[in-house]
Amino acid sequence: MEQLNLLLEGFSGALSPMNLLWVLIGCLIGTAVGVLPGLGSSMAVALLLPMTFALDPTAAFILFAGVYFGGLFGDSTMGILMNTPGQASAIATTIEGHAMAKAGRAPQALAVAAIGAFIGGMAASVVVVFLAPTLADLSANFGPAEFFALSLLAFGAISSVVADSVVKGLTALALGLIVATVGIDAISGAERLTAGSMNLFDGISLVVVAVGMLALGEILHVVTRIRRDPKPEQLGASGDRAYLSKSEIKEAIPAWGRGTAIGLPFGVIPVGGAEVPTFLAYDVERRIDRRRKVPVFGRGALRGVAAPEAAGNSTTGMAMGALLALGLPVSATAAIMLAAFRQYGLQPGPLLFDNSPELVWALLASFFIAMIVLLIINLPFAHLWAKLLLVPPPYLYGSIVLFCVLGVYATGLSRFDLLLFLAIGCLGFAMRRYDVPVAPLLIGMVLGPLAETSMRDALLGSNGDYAIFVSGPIPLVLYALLLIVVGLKARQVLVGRARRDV
Amino acid sequence: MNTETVDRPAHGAGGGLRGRGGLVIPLIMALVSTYVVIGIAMMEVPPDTTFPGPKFFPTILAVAGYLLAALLTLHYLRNPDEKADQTEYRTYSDWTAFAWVVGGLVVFILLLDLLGWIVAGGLLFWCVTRAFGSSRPAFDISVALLVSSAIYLIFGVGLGLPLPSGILGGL
Amino acid sequence: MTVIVARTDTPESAAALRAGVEEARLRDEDLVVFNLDGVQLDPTDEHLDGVPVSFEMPGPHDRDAVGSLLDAAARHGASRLVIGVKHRTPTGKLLFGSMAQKLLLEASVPVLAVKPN
Repeated sequence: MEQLNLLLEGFSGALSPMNLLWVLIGCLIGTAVGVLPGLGSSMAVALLLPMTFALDPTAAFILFAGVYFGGLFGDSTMGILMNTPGQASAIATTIEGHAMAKAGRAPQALAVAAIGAFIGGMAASVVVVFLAPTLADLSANFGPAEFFALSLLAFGAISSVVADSVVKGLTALALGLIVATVGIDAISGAERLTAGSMNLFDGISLVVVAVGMLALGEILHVVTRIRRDPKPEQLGASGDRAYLSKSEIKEAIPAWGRGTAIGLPFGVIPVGGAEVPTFLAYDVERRIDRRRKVPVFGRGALRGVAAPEAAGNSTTGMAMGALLALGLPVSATAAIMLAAFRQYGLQPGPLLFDNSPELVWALLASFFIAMIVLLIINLPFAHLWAKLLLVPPPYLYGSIVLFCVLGVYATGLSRFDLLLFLAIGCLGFAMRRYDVPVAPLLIGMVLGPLAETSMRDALLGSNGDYAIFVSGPIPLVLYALLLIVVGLKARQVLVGRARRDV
Repeated sequence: MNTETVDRPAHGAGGGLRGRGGLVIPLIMALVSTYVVIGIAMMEVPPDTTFPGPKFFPTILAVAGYLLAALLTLHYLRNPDEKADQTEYRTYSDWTAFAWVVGGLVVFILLLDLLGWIVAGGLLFWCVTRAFGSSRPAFDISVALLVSSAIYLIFGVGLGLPLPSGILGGL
Repeated sequence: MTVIVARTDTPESAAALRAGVEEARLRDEDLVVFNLDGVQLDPTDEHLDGVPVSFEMPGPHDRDAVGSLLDAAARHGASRLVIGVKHRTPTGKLLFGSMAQKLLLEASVPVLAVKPN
């Protein structure tokens, strides 16, 4: 029960007035960007990255965690009311949630979603508290070959799962890896891909890429469509009844449980965020529903909202655990957080638990606090959040663009960075326009140096013998996982064609 | 990565290129790979470096990059862009709005030192409001200056970030 | 009561549509054509060969078209589900699954399976 004592200490750190304030601010920002269409937690984290350099690490990560979870809460709120899921993880919730809202049961859908997210997130936090130190101990034995296998697993999984085609995912990944190689090589000291420009000696700053890709790229995408796409219609957040009835809670409880159970394992497998588990949870509920006497799916089924939402948040919670214990990011947001750890000179993994326990446990404790805060600010106030949509888009996006250039300028005070930011934003726009996912690019950029140095260290240690990569059980297990992920993707592509036989 | 990525998709060009705008992605991938190849060729490696040196990883990436560019070309030739055909407008994307944002950013970057944060930022904000179809350009100017001044006061004066004051600095 | 037809762009499905129209006429019922691929394949007339017809397709976010078809069949209280089937190897079905098999096994209404010619 060592973890419980550590966690209690963590709570005493996280409950300091300043840290509580950061949790609250993070949750508010996260919910707000989740609610606003076209914005998401990854954009918010990218924009906050330069601002948080002024904070101490604990406060910064507590803020990030609040934004990350808040984004999920806010996103489902808007998905339910407007049928506009901002991120892929909210799509499954939206299907039945919006149907419920149409049937005048918006408050019930919102409440079931918020409670589901709360349960999933809480369960994940508990598991992380007990599992993360063990995972971290396991990764304490990692050498270069293991780290290389781990990064390959992350690369393979992220590029095959988030994209409709593996080639597009790999393209984004390759671009990210190339960006990461720019600058002075850490091992040999050679100058790489700088074209002799002083501006590139230190490499390309992650802030420039993250803000360009996730914020400017998205804004350019939105602006080219905003006057052409039909405006989504917003349904009111009020309904016939304001609260969940006892029978509704009784109906939702098993779905919350199943969703959480489905979501938990996915956090550790880098399959590109919470999209896969949310749909798995949705499918399970739908299949169960079909066996009932009166199937309700398609007309606003409570369970179709409860399960995906619990699954999405339990995956996200576990993903934070994987990030802390292994240094393994499973989404663009997590990749930025990993980079933020490095900016503070911290390396997620076993050493983090040994060297900075007060930070780790305060952060874990803040997960629990964030869940409670989010439940409080989302459950009764969903209709107030919907009011955010009254902000005129021109002013909203104008302010965001100003914050982008402010963040980019503040990190380097250089005009070159701003030009690079603009170019990367245009690239991000082109990628969105032609359905190339951006998450692999960021993961490639963040994990690229780890992949390269561990690969070269392993080869240096073995005098150029490639067998080093497959010696030992851990790399083999990791490669087997990679094969499974790629195999499942291949099956999915083939199945789509072959099973159509009606 | 460099400025070659600002290449606009050759979209709406009509004729044989209609619906083939996606080819801009393999084009970017090929250009970036070429940049990597040139970078590897020009790289000065310290003499005492043992295998695998600093060229090893970029070489793999360049090869993979060309391969991906070829596969992407195939993909986009086989799957022409459906969105381009379904739109009732001449082009799927609203390039006027796009140009307002990008143009605003270019002007901002070029004139930041000269005009200072408040004016250049206000101008950028105003350009973005135009792009998003705001109907009150005159009123937007005051909103723009209000927002950029607020940021200047909070971050420049309050937090000590050296934002350029430009022409207003002499007043 | 209605007759519901699973519609894709295959010859099997074209046969199913003909059989569905015939079945609906025999039973003197309406016809629902469910476009499994989410694409409207037939002219959106209100009558096919004199049988009143309506069209449906899976929702935009739906990833389980077969499930939506079964839901639609239940919603309309369908009396018959008409599908076209084609020959598949047992290995193929084992590896990749089969929409037809899933419909046959999971449908709660009688299924009429037809082959082209």
